[in-house]
Amino acid sequence: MGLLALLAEGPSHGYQLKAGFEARTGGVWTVNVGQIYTTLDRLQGEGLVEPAPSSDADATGGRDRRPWRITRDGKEALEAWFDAVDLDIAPPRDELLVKVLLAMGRSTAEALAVIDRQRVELYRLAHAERRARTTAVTTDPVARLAATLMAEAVSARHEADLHWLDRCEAALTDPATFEETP
Amino acid sequence: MTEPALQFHAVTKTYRHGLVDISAVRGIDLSVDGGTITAVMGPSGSGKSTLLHLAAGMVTATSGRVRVAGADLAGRSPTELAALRRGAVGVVFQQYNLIPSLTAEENVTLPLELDGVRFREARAIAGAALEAVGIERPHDRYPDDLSGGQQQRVAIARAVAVPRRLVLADEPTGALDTSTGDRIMDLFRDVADRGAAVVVVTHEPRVAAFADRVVTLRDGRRVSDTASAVPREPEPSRVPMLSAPGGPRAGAS
Repeated sequence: MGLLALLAEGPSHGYQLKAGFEARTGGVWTVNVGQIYTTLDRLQGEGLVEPAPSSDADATGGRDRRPWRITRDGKEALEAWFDAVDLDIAPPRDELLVKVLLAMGRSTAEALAVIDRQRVELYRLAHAERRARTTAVTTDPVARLAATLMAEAVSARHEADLHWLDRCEAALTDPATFEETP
Repeated sequence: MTEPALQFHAVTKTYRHGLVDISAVRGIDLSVDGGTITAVMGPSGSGKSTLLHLAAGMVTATSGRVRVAGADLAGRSPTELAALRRGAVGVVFQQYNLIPSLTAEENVTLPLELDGVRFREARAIAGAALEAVGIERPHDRYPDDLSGGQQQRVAIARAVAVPRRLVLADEPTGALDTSTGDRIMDLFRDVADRGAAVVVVTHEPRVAAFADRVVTLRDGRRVSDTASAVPREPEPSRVPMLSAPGGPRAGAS
């Protein structure tokens, strides 16, 4: 769907789509151009994209230079995607939560050891992210905004996990306080 | 600079409340180098503020040794400690501790003048320090006319007006919104880049993410440290919070 959204802004060829997708999503996912072509082939099979008429100069450039454009069906599929709400209704099933919750069934010392280890790694990650953010150099304002917002999303999740680990620790070490401050 | 900016060797601090001794810090070993930011985390009562006060020489250790820039704080008179604090250590608090009847500039020049710096020179140092933290002129505004973020900047300018080996901060962003807090932490990064060891006590993970190293305290002990593995002492075991699950179905992914 990411490719459809980019093609809705105008025809592009494979490399432009790869670069555009990475820049617009904050550079956290790198995609290889082969994946782009595979996806374009699939989208073409579904009738959502089609080769765009191109000038002679482009046509001689081979597959890399062939521009693609979105079809009417593609636009409808894209609108439906934007309209749909994608929330994780079910509780998150990540390894951290499951591991810590199961560790709570062991001794307090063992549970705290698990919490401490997870916390250390989260702090290391959070610090690495923040460092990467301050050293990243992008001149394109759109890409810069995307990178900033993506970094905010990542750090908000780290913070949420760290706060949750604090709550787990409070439940283990100070049940009275834990009950008072839900 | 060979010796670390701050060293704790088996430091304990016990407060006596009536007949009861309360251990705030129980045998902490810690070494902090210049040029880094260290965050100290932990629940309230974990000993993180006591650790900061010990480093600042505001309270004395019951046992163990605290060294600041190689100088042992044990056995020094309050006057000597105050002199050391003014020379090697800068301290920043959550509530900026500015003197409301003095201007921003006077808040920075006062400790310099107390140290014998002449008025003219103190003004020049203060002006440069305030500019370095982004306080624009005029510098004759009073704390009440400044935002919380600006007041904290003035407090940092005061703490680092002269080069420091060690800068201690107790919840420096606690009274600020997140983006202002981020900018304050960027300032501490500048301070660290100029060679000081910055030690920040905080309860906010967001603030800790700025630090090169995060030390977590619990019950007066260091229980985790991103810089090294901490050998865990066995803790008194308690009844587990949750009973062991009946089967392996949850999270078997």
